[in-house]
Amino acid sequence: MKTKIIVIYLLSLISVSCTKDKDGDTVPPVINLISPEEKSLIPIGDPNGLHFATEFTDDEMLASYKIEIHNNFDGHGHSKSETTPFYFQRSWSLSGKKNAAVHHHEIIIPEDVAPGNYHLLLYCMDATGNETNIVRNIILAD
Amino acid sequence: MVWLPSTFHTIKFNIGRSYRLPGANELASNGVHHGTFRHEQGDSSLRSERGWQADIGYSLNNPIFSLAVSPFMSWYKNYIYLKPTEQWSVLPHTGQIYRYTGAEVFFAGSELSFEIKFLKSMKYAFTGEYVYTYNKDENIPLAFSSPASMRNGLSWACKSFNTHIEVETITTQRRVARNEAVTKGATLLNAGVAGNIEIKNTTIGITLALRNIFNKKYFNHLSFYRHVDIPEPGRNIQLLLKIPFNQQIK
Repeated sequence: MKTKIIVIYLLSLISVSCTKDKDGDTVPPVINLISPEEKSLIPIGDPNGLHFATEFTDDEMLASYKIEIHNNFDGHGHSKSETTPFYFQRSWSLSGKKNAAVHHHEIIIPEDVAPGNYHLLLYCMDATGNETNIVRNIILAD
Repeated sequence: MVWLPSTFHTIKFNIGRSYRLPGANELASNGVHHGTFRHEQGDSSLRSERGWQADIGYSLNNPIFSLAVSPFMSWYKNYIYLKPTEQWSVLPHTGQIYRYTGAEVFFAGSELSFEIKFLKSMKYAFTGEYVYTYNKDENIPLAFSSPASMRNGLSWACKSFNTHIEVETITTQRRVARNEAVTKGATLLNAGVAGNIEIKNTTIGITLALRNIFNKKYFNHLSFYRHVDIPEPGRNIQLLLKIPFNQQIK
């Protein structure tokens, strides 16, 4: 009797281990953000734009990355300000690569934005949707 | 279906079909979920979730040894889960969009427990459990799969007094879904004493329980607190008093 039960149990375990195909990828890509550095001063209205440099690596295949810059102002005021907080969001494709080094000056900070503390968020995902992100504190200055 | 081959053995077998309609969030949500910090999107074309379940239960009971095994498995053709879409959301503070999607999935697992009585008043008890989850469409595990765990306990009882000590082992959960973190395992030590005291014809039950005696910092893989780095309770002591009010109402 007991052996019969054990047989049923073992069979159920075997049927579990048989269903395996090639394991899907669950390893997220790795970001090495070189520039801007933590707490770096970024000049407002610089026609050359923000110096952005990073490296991405993934165990299988990279897909794309996204940059978001939003303000990190403490508190808020109610007086009408002449300047508006800067907000930026854009994504770029990385498809077909396992490793990528990116360097560009495409983020231009317009002259009329409010200076202060900002966050730069850098997201990266691989071809199956494994995602990683890092946050960098930057200071926009006149 | 229950089968009792003799007074010591019980065998139960169960097979079932399940059916669940998609919830409102699975059909129509679109925005950042402030608990998961993800942009979650519903899909109004989702069909109902249907699955098959089967489980077997076997138990053996005799005066010194008892055993219970209950393996189960289930299979869904259209299991609804949040799938990363590989498209960036345009909403601030978010990564990619996660959309409710149906997938063929398979669950299996088992619980095993047994007790051995020895030296008149001593008892050794073991419980263990394991769950396996598999998303056949993606060839990856499902999110929130509980890690394998076991408890080894030793207890001593004498009249109305008993004491126990238990080692709880939780394994590291490495079988994770996409964008789900691995949760490290832990070994915890729990102990307790319980007894009854007779005062003026009332029996007062006292229980003192100590949990996580080594003050181990550990996380629960199934808890949302893990996402915000809040560990499970540290060393804690509980004193329970049970005082019955047995006076007859006249």
